[in-house]
This record gives sequence, structure tokens and C-alpha cells, in this order.
Amino acid sequence: MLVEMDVAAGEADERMQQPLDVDEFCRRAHPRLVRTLTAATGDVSLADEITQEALARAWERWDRVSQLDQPEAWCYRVAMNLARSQFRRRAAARRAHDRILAAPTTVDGSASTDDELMTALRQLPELQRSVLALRFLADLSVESTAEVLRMPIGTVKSTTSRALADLRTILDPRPDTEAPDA
Amino acid sequence: MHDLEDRLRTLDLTPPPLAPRAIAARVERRRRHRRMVTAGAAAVLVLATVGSLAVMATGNDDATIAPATAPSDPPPVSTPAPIAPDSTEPPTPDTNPGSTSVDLSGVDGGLYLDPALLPSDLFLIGATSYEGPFGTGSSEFGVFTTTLVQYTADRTRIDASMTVETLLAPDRIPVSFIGEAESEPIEIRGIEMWTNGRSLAWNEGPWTIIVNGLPSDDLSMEELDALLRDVAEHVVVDADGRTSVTPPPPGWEALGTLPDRIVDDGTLWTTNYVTPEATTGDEPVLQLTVTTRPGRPAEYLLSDAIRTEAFATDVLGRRAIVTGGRGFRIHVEVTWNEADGSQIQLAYSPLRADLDVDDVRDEAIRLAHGVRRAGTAQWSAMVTEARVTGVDFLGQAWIDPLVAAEGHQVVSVGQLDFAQPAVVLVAVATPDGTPDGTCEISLRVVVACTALDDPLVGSSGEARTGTLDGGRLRLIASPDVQYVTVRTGQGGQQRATEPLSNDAPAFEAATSPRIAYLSVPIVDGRVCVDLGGANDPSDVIATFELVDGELVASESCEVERAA
Repeated sequence: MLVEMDVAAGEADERMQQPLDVDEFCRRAHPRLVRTLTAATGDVSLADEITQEALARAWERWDRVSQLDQPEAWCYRVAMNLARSQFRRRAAARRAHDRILAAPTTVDGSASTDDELMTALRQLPELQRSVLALRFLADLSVESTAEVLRMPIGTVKSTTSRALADLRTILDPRPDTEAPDA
Repeated sequence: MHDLEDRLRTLDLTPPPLAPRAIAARVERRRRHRRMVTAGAAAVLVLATVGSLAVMATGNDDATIAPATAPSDPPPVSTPAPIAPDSTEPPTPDTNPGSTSVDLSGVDGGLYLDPALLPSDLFLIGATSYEGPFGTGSSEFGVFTTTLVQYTADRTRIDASMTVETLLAPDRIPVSFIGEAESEPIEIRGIEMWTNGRSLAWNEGPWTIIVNGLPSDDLSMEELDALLRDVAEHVVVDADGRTSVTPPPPGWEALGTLPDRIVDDGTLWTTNYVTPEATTGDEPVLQLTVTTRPGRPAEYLLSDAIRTEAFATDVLGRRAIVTGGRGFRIHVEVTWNEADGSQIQLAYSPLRADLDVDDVRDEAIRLAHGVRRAGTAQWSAMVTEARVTGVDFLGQAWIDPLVAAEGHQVVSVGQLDFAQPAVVLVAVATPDGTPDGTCEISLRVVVACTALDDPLVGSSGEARTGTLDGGRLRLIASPDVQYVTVRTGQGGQQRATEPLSNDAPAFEAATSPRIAYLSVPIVDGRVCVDLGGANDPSDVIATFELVDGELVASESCEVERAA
């Protein structure tokens, strides 16, 4: 379904409304999609694979996708659907191999701050990861995130809140409150 | 408070660069390997018919998909040179004596179907040319891939296959992680190698070599493991990363070695035909493509499909490979090589799903005999004709009278998810403009209209089937049903549902009925339908049995699922 997105709320939403030719669109959208999908899936190779598939589908239907208010949002939706579909399983063996080859490591082999955050993200449920990725890495508005994930706005808000809380707990498992006085 | 949000916004996830023309190449590859959602039952059906069909289609049992055996020099090629094994030289017309040979080589235009053989209901919808280079590859690290195959005894099909991949992998990545991390190294040729039973990998010089064996019903895991080791024992890698296996395991032969990241120059010509009942967005019913890739045997173009679905036949004096079977739409491809190094492919995919697969194959082969090559003037005329017909085809004016006949007017038009083609969703309103739900159109017929207050909206774990149109199953479900799984004794298919009211605001869309179209499994015996919930197919919230197109409660389906 070609979905007309709601009024853009953020910079990303406005960016996604720029008319482009398909080649230029793919070139620009690719890094943003991969980055967001990496956070959502926890897997850069899988994210790249899904992104390319989503962009290929946009390419094939560019005469229609380009008429949408936000072609990039359409790609996010397709990519998110792909991420949770059989697509992941079909090429699992191939990507498992690439994933290992492409696994980010620091020069000295220690975990970076970003690695720590990614590790924590991977521990979140898939839906929470997706919401955080769309809200903060793709910089989508709550409304656009709801459109992409096809869920109520209220659910996006509550999921975001829960995901951030869970992420904080994973990153810093110490209790927030001080221990009661002895 | 917002520190974590800021960390997320600035999270350093530098993506791999997008290779030039990577998406274009992917599009091209998708066109060739059109996705098929093949039910297990269909696979069984195809397997059962392949052998006899090969004989039926050819009139003899000489046609094989094995490359012609007469070795000769590979044809001249553009840069980079394909690694064409001698045995992949396309057979000459002489190899099919008695058949009519038609020359399809040329550089001035694409293909068309001889009007004498063109079905009267097919009309031209597209004539396009796409300039290379084309790129394909299974891995960003891929350099070369050698394919080993084992033909059936009558050499009409490939029975099993293995690949030897050369990867240029960064040194920082320990090869022991390729395959499965927990595997223990073994030593072959004095080299430490890792295996997981299905693949075997090692570092050799700057290269990482991986031998992959595709699962086979006829091969035990021990036999597969032995095969992998046999290949690894005899792999030779040259300075550029090309591999050869000398000798191949007994009964196996090398199909050839090709660059894994193939770049071809030239033009890809595509010609599309549809029937009048096609709806906007449908893939073409008939697609003809030609491109020139010297030394590329048809086996490579067809990838893994050739393992279970392919057979060979004669088309225009050449050995053509026929692949395909039943998916959401039956899809058959007939592929062959021209003497000038071109690859011709006819893809035939009728819109209706209730056809006999064998009949569709026969028709595809029949049509393939009508493939001709256009010259400059004819191709130009085809491009013009396609532009004119394309306007009508892509337009939506034809929808208005269909919806009006149902007492509605069109509000907006969309399409069911692209994975579920041939269905147009139309948001409709009453004549006074009041929103009145959604109508579905398939094959230019209104399948059903669903009101906004449909009882399914307020229900949970409920579903009902709609019209069985053209062999497809329409299933409309309550808002909590996000997946549908159809199970038979031979296999199953799973499909995500889509909200029926995508034009509605997000909240309403999330509380609207959900819809899915599936190909109907053609099997004897029980067909079970599981309704999956909340983004998790394993979260089954209801199970039914499909009886005469209706969903009924079934304890036996429940028991089978639990088992």
C-alpha cells in the first residue's frame, strides 16, 4: 500500500520529502537506512542487506514511490517488514558469514562506548529496538514512527519510554535509589 | 535525562559504502530471479513431474542441462574477462539436429514475440533497455566462485551442487569464525581448516576459501562432510584467487569459475507483456530479456533453482533450461544461450493461480519458440507502443466503474503489500462522501468490500476466508492477527497480514481488519491455518482447518501444531 505520510514533524521528515531521481535517492538514503537498521537489528551486514533490498524495491516502483510524500519513510517501512520476515532466514547462512567478517571491533580489541551501547541495544526486544532506531537514529517523529511500524502513536510513546528505561538499566544495572539507611 | 537519547542519535554505526550501481544491479538480479513463495506441496509436485515432463516436452530423452561437452575456446569478452570453462560453450544448432534454428543475436534491439504465436490477450506494456555495467555477487568480500555440480544419471537435472568461494577477507577476522565458532579445526594439505558439516573454510595466502555444500536428501551429513574434505584436498588457488578442483570428487564436474562480483558491460533489453485483466502494479505476464554475457552458462543465471526444478528442452535449436513452478503466481522461466554469448530468458507467469503447472510450462516452451530479435526500427516502434499502452495500464480510471457498481466512490487507491501482488485496495466512500471502508480488486474484479464497522474490528483471534479467486485464498482477520501460516502435510507457507485500511490514521489502521492473500496449497489431506499474533509468528493465537474454503475449528490441527 502506498501510504501518504502525515505532516512531517522533524528534520528527517522534511528531508524525506525532497524530490530526487532514484539513483540519487538510493545514494543518499542508504547510509541513513543502514544506520537505523543496524540499531534495529543489531547487525550491520543484515541491515545493509535489508536496506539494499528495500531500495531495490523502491527503484523498481520509483514511478509510484517517488510520488509519495516521503519515499524514504516508505523504505523504512519496507525495511522494517523485511527485518521481521522470512527474508532474514532465507539468507541466514550467507549473512552469518559476512556478519562475522564485518563485526566491528576496535583496534585494540576492547569494546568502545558505542559497542557497549550496541550490545545493550541487542538485548532489547525487537520492537523496542525498532522504535528507538526510528526515533533517534532515523530522527523520525512519533507520528512517522507510528506510520512506519503501523502502530498507534500512544504505543510508540510508551514503547519508547520503556525501551529507554530498559536500556538505561542494561547499561547501568545499579539501582537508581539509594540504599535505605541502616 | 536526554543523555541516552543523545547517545543514540550520535551512535557511531558507519555503514559500509554503497557500491556504485549496487541497487541497479540488485534490481536487475531481482528481475532474473523473481521471488517465488513456493509451497512445499508445489515443490513436491514439481519434483514429481520433472522427469516425465522433460521427455514429454522434448519428445526424447536426449535433452540435458549438462553443458555441451565439445571443448572450445571461450568467446572474446569485455573487461574483466569472465572465466568461461570450455564446457560452458553454448551448444550449436548442430547439437539439436532436426530442430529449427533462429538467430537471436544482435545489438540493435530487444526481443519480441512473433505475432503468430503471441496469445491474443497479451499486449505490449514495456520495452526498455538498460545499459550496463551489471553487478552481481553473493558477498561484498567475494572474488571468485567455482561451482561443482552432480548431474542426475540421465543428465536432465542437476542433482547436487557445491561452491568454492574465494573471499578477500580482512586479516583481522579470524577464519575460525567462518561457519560456526564452536567448530574445531582440522588439517588438510597442512592447512588449518574449520568445518561445521555444511561448509569448510580456511585461509590460503591472502584469500579465505569456503567450500559450501547444499543440503541434499540423498546425502548424509557424513557423506557431505567427506565431500567437503575431498574438495578441500584438491582445491588449487591461483594468484588472482581463482580456484579449481582437480580432480573433482567422483561423479562431480566443474560448471566453471566466475568472478563473484561480476561486472558486465552491454545492454539488458527487457520486453513486457500483460493481459487485460492485469491490475496496476502486477508483474508482467510475459517478460523477455536478453543480455550479452559471454561464457555464462544458463545454469549460472538460474542459481539454486536449477537444483530441484529444472529440466532441459529444445528451443529454436538450442538447449534451453526450464525452471519454475507454483508460487503465489505460477512462474516459469525458459533460459538459453545464444551463439554470440547472449542469454535469452522468457519468463511466463499467468495471473491466475488455478492453472495446471505442467500446462503453464508447456505454454512457456511453446511461446519461447516465438521469440524473435528486433532491429533498430522495430524496437523504436515497440518503445513507442509500450509508452502508449503503459499510460492506460498504469492509470486508475478503470477502477471507478467497478467500485461504482458496488455503490461506492473511490477515495484513494493503493496496493496490498508488494509481496502479495495482484490485489488493489481501494478506500471507498458512499456517494455522499462518507468513508465506507475498503474494496479489494483482483484480476479487475471486486473480490469483496469491507465496511469500517466490520465485526472483525472488535474481535480477537478471528478470521474468515473470502472468495477463492483464481486459486488464491483471501483471508481477513481480526486486528491482532499479524501472521497467517498455512500448513499441509507437505509443507507450509507463512505470510504477514496487512491492515485493510491503510488510508486511515495510524491508530485506526492498527485497529482495522487485517488481510492476506495466499496461494492455495493443492494437496490431498488436511490444510491447517494458524493465526499468529503480535509480531511473532510463533505466537499462535488460533488454529483452524480449511474445509471447502471455510475456516473451521479443528482439534487435529491443534494437535499437529503442538506436535
